[in-house]
Amino acid sequence: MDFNQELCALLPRLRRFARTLARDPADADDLVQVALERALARSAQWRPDARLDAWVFGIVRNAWIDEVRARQRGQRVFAPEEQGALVGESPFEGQDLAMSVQSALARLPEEQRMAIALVLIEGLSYREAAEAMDVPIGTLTSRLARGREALQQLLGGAAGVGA
Amino acid sequence: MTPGDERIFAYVDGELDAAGAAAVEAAMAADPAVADAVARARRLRAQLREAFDPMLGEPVPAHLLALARGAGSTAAAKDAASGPASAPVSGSAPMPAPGATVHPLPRPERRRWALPEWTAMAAALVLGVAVSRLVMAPAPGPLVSESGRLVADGALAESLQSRLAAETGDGPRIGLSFRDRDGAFCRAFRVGGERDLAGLACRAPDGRWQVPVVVSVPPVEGDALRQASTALPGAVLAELDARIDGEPLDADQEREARDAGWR
Repeated sequence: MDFNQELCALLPRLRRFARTLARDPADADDLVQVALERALARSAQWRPDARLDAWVFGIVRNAWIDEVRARQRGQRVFAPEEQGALVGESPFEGQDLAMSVQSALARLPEEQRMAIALVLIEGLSYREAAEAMDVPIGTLTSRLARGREALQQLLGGAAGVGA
Repeated sequence: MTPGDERIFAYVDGELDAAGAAAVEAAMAADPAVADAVARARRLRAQLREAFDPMLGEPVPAHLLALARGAGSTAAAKDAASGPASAPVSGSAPMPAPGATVHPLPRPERRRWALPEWTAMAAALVLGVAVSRLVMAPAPGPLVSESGRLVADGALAESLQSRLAAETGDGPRIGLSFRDRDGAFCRAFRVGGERDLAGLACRAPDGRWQVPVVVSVPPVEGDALRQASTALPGAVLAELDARIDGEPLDADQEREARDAGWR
């Protein structure tokens, strides 16, 4: 697969990661667009021995910090909390659980949310996630631990998983 | 080791070396609080995947696809969005709620599966299936007991062998595929029937699809099908998490593996 094909294959995960940062789905897609433009402009910097996903997640993170968040600052800092209802209406059984997990994640400080999203949802290693977030690995693991504890507290009263 | 120790999280995340993992396992054996912390950390991982994996099944806006394909400037990409590109959302229009982007699928024929006598039940993690349903008269069904293990049979076995996750239609639905830590291919599945079942099947050396976990789930129909086939119950996800080596197969890898007979 060439660079563009790999980028296409990554799109669903990029959009998912962006939505853990920007709560509004349209903002999240704008973020993905900015990140794609940057990734394409810098494709020569990507070392093929590195994981493309980790590299692009880092670009999404930087784009979020640099551009989109700055742009939003003048308008509204965050979409209303109700936007936590990201997955829409569905009769699927997991819905209640999914809603509560997503709104719980949305309540975490951004740094913890990012660490949780990269490691626990996107499956990056600690080293890759630390690189994507541009922090030392110890900072990543402590954010991850604090995020997990907060999530477990927020979800504590919820029923067990699945059937 | 205390339940809040970061080594416990690192263990669950697969970040420890053999010695580190052994230390956590020893602490789990010695201290129920540590074992409980490991279980809770695993459950949280499964909950997060269950909540966020369905997003991967949503159609990608055409302008993003065009951009990633290298169709040129953003303006060109947005123009391309009105062309023959596949996804329904264009330009900067807000994305509709994901529930609304689900493609309606033809409603499958509701086949009735009779479950065979299930002596291998103890060998698999079987959750939420009423025991009385498992001791009905033997009949063609999705699962059979064979040599003390639970294996896929009939249409489910055929689908596991030949169907790609992107293929929809009647019969069993296949979710993501991956290699387990022993190098064998495993696939998530869902079969309809009197009770819908969701589980994992892993290809055994003899070519049979062995089922390490199966869960009864409420039936879903129509628009919910697509989402449901990507969302797995927590117990199945937890089993998947415990078995998976690396990343799930992407569509190309899945096709290659299928074409190679999952060997």
